[in-house]
Amino acid sequence: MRVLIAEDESRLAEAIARGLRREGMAVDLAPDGTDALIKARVVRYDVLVLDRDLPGLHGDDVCRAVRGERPETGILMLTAAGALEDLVEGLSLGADDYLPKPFRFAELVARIHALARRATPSRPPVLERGDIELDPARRLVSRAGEPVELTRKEFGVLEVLMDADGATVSAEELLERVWDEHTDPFTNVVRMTIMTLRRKLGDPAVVETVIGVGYRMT
Amino acid sequence: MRVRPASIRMPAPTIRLRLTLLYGLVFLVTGAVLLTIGYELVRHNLNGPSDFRSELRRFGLSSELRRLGLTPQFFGRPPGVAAGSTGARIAEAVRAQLRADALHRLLIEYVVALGEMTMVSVAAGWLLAGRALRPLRDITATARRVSGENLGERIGLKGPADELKELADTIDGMLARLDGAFASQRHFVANASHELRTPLAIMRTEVDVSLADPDATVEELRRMGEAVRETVDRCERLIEGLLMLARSEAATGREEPADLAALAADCITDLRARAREADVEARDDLEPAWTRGEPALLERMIANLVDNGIQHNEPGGYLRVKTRTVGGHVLLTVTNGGPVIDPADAAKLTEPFRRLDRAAGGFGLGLSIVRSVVVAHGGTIEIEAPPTGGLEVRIELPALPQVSVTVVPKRTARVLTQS
Repeated sequence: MRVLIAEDESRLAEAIARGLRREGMAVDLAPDGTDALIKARVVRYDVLVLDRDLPGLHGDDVCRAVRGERPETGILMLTAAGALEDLVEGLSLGADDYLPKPFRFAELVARIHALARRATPSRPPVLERGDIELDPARRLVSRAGEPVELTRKEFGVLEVLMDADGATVSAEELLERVWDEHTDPFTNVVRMTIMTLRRKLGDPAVVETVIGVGYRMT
Repeated sequence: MRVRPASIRMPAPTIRLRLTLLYGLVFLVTGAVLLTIGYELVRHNLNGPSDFRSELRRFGLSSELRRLGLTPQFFGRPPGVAAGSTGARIAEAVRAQLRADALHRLLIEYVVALGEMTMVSVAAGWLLAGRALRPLRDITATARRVSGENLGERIGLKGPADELKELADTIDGMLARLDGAFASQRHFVANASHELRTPLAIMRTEVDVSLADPDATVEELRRMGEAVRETVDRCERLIEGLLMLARSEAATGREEPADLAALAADCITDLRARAREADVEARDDLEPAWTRGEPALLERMIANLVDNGIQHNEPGGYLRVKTRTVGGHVLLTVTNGGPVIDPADAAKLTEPFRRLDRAAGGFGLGLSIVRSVVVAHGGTIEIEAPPTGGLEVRIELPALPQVSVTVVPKRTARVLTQS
């Protein structure tokens, strides 16, 4: 899952990013509204965590623009105002959810997961394919009832592949959705992750390579 | 079972009712006086035939009448009736009876007419009072509709510039001031809430994220602690600023004579190192400027201005602090170089939480504190953004009366950072 945090308080933004990365999300940061809009246009984010009071372009304008151009991106607005009118106003601008500061981090994570699920409405809370089960909210994977320990990136790749439901996913798309903006696009990190993922999931192999195109679940 | 009589609801003693009763009463009294005078005149004239003769004489008509063969007695007594005769007495009695009847009829007619006209005047008074008071009802209705949430409405009374228009305009003016005060209050609360919640959010997130990691290393936890401490510092500065603002607004506990020149000199000395670090040339041009006030607040006022002047400057820029006593006022002028500021923005700098550049740090309370100190001491503040860049703040405070001339300034013009 890929998340953009648009927040001008660098300390807060970094703390959120650290926490979300540990939850297995690929996180990018935008310190102002203009930067946030540029990034949201270039990359298909699952969730945009948007501070309302942003310098440059105001959070409300970012929200409106992203809602118009990227309907699939879930928008979670953060605000320090915390009055009911702000909540109503924020939601009427097209935000999907609204969280007043200060918030509990666990709540932020839960809401981000809920938003990501809402972005693909047919998607069940727990993904199943064959004998593999994947629970994105609890970050649990099991095969034939046996838990499988995965790293964050392995988990992210498996989630995207299971979500694709047997369709082929290109390495570029995996890179965009699982890794953040600091990753070198010519890296072989996707190939390496697929290899370790295959090994951990065991036999029979469930992830197959479509040569020259990408990867898919059997 | 006792049956209570249906209570007749007394109309409330409104101004309309009182005015109506007053109109009716005034009409009744003046009408009664007028009619009494009329009645008395009529009675007097009817009862005084001898006067009639003298009246004729007075107008010089007696000789005319005599020439016509009409003696004055013609009017007094029927001719051929000797005075004191029975006929004369009968005639006199008949005339007296006629007079009494006429006066009696007149009296009844007057009383009936007075009663009828009083009722007409009460009705007319009721209508007139209602008409005159209608604008007052409009004003009341508007004032009732307006509340803390909805201060946008105005009475906007049309019509001649009379007392009611004046009242409506006065209330409109008051509403406008209230509206402004409420708006700035809301603005302040929203900003203060934002500034207080943000550091809380930072600390909460730092702690939540670090504690949720079961494998957190000592370094990570230490880093978290430092981040929290830094944020607590920020909260402390904010709270100190807010308290200072509240204290300066609540105004002066103990007032004593204070020399702005001495306070400014101390302040510049304290901030000299910072000025040098920022490569700002600080000049002072101080003449004694004795005013009356709370020294701690006045010192804070000057410190905030000098601090602003250094912080929002540019390398190689200047800062000038000038004090003067002119007439009954003392003047403090702080001028600094720096980037060009939009004059419209400059005028708003004294509003709390107003910052030109959020990245520059600070909370935007400095100049608000300055303004409330100035206002609390009965002075005025002017902020100007020269087209050449930077900011000029001019403060005028009442001078201390009877300044002792023996106070000689220790410090005169000098350059601090060039020494």
